Order: sequence, then structure tokens, then C-alpha cells
Amino acid sequence: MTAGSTLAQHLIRNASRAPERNAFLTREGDMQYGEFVARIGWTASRLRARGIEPGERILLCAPNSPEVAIAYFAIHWLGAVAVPVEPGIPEASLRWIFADCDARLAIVEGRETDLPEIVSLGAITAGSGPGPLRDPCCEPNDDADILYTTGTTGTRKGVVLTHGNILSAAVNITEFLRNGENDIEVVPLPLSHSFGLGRLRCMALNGNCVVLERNLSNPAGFLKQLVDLRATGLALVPSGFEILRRLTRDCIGTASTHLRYIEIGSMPMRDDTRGWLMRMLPDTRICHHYGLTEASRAAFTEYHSDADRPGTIGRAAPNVEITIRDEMLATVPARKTGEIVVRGAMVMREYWKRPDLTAAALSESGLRTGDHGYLDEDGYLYLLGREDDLINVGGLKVIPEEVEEKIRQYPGVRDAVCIGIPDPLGLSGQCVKAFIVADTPVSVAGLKAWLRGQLEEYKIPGVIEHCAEIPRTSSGKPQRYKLRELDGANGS
Amino acid sequence: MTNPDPVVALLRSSLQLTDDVPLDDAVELSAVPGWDSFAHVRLVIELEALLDRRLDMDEIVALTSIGDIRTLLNGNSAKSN
Repeated sequence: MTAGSTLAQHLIRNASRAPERNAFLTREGDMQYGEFVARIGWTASRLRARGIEPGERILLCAPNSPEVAIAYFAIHWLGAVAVPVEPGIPEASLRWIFADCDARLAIVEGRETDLPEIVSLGAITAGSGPGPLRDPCCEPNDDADILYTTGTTGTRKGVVLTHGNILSAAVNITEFLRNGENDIEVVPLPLSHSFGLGRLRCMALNGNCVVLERNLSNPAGFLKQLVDLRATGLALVPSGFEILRRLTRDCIGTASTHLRYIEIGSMPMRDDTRGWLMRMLPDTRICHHYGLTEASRAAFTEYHSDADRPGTIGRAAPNVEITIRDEMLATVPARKTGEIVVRGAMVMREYWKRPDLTAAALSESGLRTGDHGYLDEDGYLYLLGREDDLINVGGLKVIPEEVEEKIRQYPGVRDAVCIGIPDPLGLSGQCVKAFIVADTPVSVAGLKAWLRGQLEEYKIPGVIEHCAEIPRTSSGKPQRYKLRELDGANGS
Repeated sequence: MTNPDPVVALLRSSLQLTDDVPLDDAVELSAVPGWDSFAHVRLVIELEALLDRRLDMDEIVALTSIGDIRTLLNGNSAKSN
């Protein structure tokens, strides 16, 4: 592990060594590391002037931009705790998170909100200001972030990560990807989720340049930018590659002369797309991680190196231990299935204000992931799936109960159950399918339009089907497996 | 009896839009409710099925508004006449 006990210290070191090196490239102009760190200091100073104390929680809700990164690290600088939240989150969910984490302030951009204490991102991160906070006030065992994740019971869980956790994760990722200070990396991933945030943290560690994109809404333009910049790194979810493949054909092959590494995560990759990517980029290190918000990047596979092991999700990441355990948490031998348990310095400290969930998840053996799989004799991990009903839409998790509850509020709908089905377009892995019971047929388009005001876009069912009755147990629980069987779909 | 606009009908079908969503030629695709990269792919698939051919990248990049879709379809009609 490189010197420095927090990412904040690594940032200062990188800016001191090469203040003129580009930190961010944007259409509005480039930002060098000297300016980046100076603005972090000014922003931290402004936050302190607003009375923010170490340990207090600050929501960060804005589309990707260098200013989001400035605000994120400024919160750390002050010793406060960052709570990144997706910018499109419904207002009710935003209010819930603000209250749950007892937030002191929300830094917001690009949306209206009724939160009690807000400041605009632009105002808090503006170019210069009062004397900057020069020395970060954070220590490795201090809380750095709370990332809210979807849980199986319908209630979000706040994953508490310390500065030691996030530095350890960044070190592990970098050790596997082998990226460094001279890399130019394109990141069209939200900084409110573990994957995108992990790339930002790696940037702080390595001192490389990042091109932040808000989304992949213009795939051809995105690819052109990747090539024009001669980017050496790319982070993207599998559905993003499906979209690039579908809309730009084999044009990603033109990046093969300069793209040194790719990091992929959040969901499995289709076998044919994996093969396509390997053919397009024969010399690129194509790294796909398995991990959780609670245990960032627990395992890695590199497509070319592991080509002779179909189906594996790789081996434990550097400095990480993975074991397979039975119900009693005893280790099972190779090729025996059980629960995947992860141990490493990047594993979360706790679930925010949920000692019960924390105790259930963390043990002396490590973090119980809830995923099932097995290890082969060489330590390669194979994932078999989850027992819960979470639906994975392009890497974003959907709790079916949440969608069902909304659908039942629509006039005319008596009952509703949702399952995950393979995405008909083959892009996002799964999509949501809703079965609805209504006294008279309900307009599918009308229901979808109404849901758009209630839920994030990825949660809206791609397929809605009327049925006479929802199969349920004697205690009233929906039997989703029966619907999956009837539908002929693979729900995992 | 007027025939339904084929461009509007394609968009309402592809993106599952209700009749009250305005879809005149000036509307930018990025402003259509529910527009994202997945919607983009669905639209391309429907256009290719309608045209019975694959769109090249230049044609895909040029599709930024409802009017652009109409131009594409009208241009294809002219080619086939």
C-alpha cells in the first residue's frame, strides 16, 4: 500500500507533485490538480463557515461534474460524512434519506426540493473564497461515506464506509487494473453509486485524469470522444456495452490502439457480448468485478486471462479473502456451494443505525453477501445467484414490492406482482414485468405514464400483463416463482 | 378519415407514450418522457424493422428530433420510388 492513510492525503500529494496535470477534462474546460485541490479547500472552508462539524452528514445530490467531486472530497476534508444520492431520486426518497441519516445539509443541483437545509452545488464550490482549509481533518477510522442501497425488505440501508475502507478499496482496484497517473479515463457512471464513486476514489489515489459523463444518452458521440481523447481507461456497465454494440456496431474497435483497461461491474455480461468485446479489444485489460456496496470489488476476472474458465466471476481481489460458508458459517470445500463470505479492509464498518442488520451481515468470518456460489480448486469463484427477488436492471436493483405497491394505487388495479425477466432487447440483463389484476382492462400506456411520476425510470415495468389472479401462499405472500415458471423466464 | 401519422404512431408504440404527449417535428428526442439510451435502441430497432434494413452510424447520430425521424423515413421513401 502506498504512503498516506486517507485518500485526502493522496490527493494533496498528487497535487503537490504535479499541480499542472489534468484532473478533469470537460467541454467547458480542463481542471488541473492544483485548482482541484484548491477548490476542495475553499469548499471545505465554506462548509465550516456554515457550521458543519466533523461527523455530520451532508447529502450530495447532483449530476456528474467536477464540482460534485470537489464537494465530495471537501466533505471529507472537513471530517464530515458524504451521503451521495442519485440526482433523479423521487423527492419522497430524498426526504427519507435526509431524515434517516440526520443530515445537516444537502448540496443540490438540477432539481427542486423541499429539504430543510440546502445549498447549491455551484455556490458552495465556486472558484475562490475565504482562506482554504489546507489540512484534511479525517482519519482512517473516521466515517467517510454513507451509501444507501436497496434492501430485500423494501427499506434502504445506509452502508457506512470509513476512510480506511475506501482507501483500501481503491488500492485493491488499482492493483488489479494496473492503472496509474498517466491514464485518461472516461467515466459515464453516476458518482452516487459504488461503481462510479470507486473510479473517483481511484483517481484521488493515482492522480490520473478523468472525463466525467452524465450518461450514455449519445452513444455515438460518447465513442467519438473516447477515440478523440485517446482515452486509456473506461468504466462502464454491461448494458452500456450492449448499447454501444447495438448503436455503433464494431466502432469500439477503433479504440483498441489506446484503450489500456476497462472496468466493468454491477451485473453479469452476456457471453456473446463478452466475446465481441474481447475480439474488438484484444490488447485491452478487460476487468469485470464482483462486489457489493458493503464490500467494494471483492473479486475480479480479466476476460483474456480467464478465457479458459467460462462462467467464473474471477478470484478474490488483491488483499481480499473469499470463502464459501454453510449455514453455520463453516468453510465448505472446493466445488461445494454455499454463501459467499468476503473479508478485507474495504468491508463496511456497519449499516447506519441498524445494529440488527449489521450483526446479521458481519461476522468474524467476514461479510455475508447473501450470494451463493462455489470456489474451484484454484480459487476461482462461480456465482449461482441470490435467494431474494431483487431485479437487476442494467446494474440498478429494483425491489419488486416497491413497484407493486405503486401499481396497486392506480385506479382500476386490484392486485399486482412484479418479477424480473430477461430484457427482450438483451441490453439491461433484466427488466421488470408486472402482472396486474383489474376489474376492467387498464391502459398499459396510461399506467406507465402515471408510474413515471412515482418511480425512477428503471423501475417502471417494461412489460405489463393482465392476469385473472396472482398465485399466493396461504399467508398471502405472492409466489413469484410460479409466475416465473409460467412465464418461462429466468428470474435470477 | 385521416390516416395516423406513421412517425408519431411508431414513437408512441416504441416508447409507450400516451396520446397527450406532444410529438411535433420540433420536439427533441431527449425531451420525450422516458427517453434514455435504452429508448434510443428500441427506436433504432423499430426503424430498422420498418425500413427493412440496418441504419448506419451517421444515420443514427443524425436522429435528434422527431423531424429527423420523419426526414429519414421520407428519404427512404424517395430512394425506393
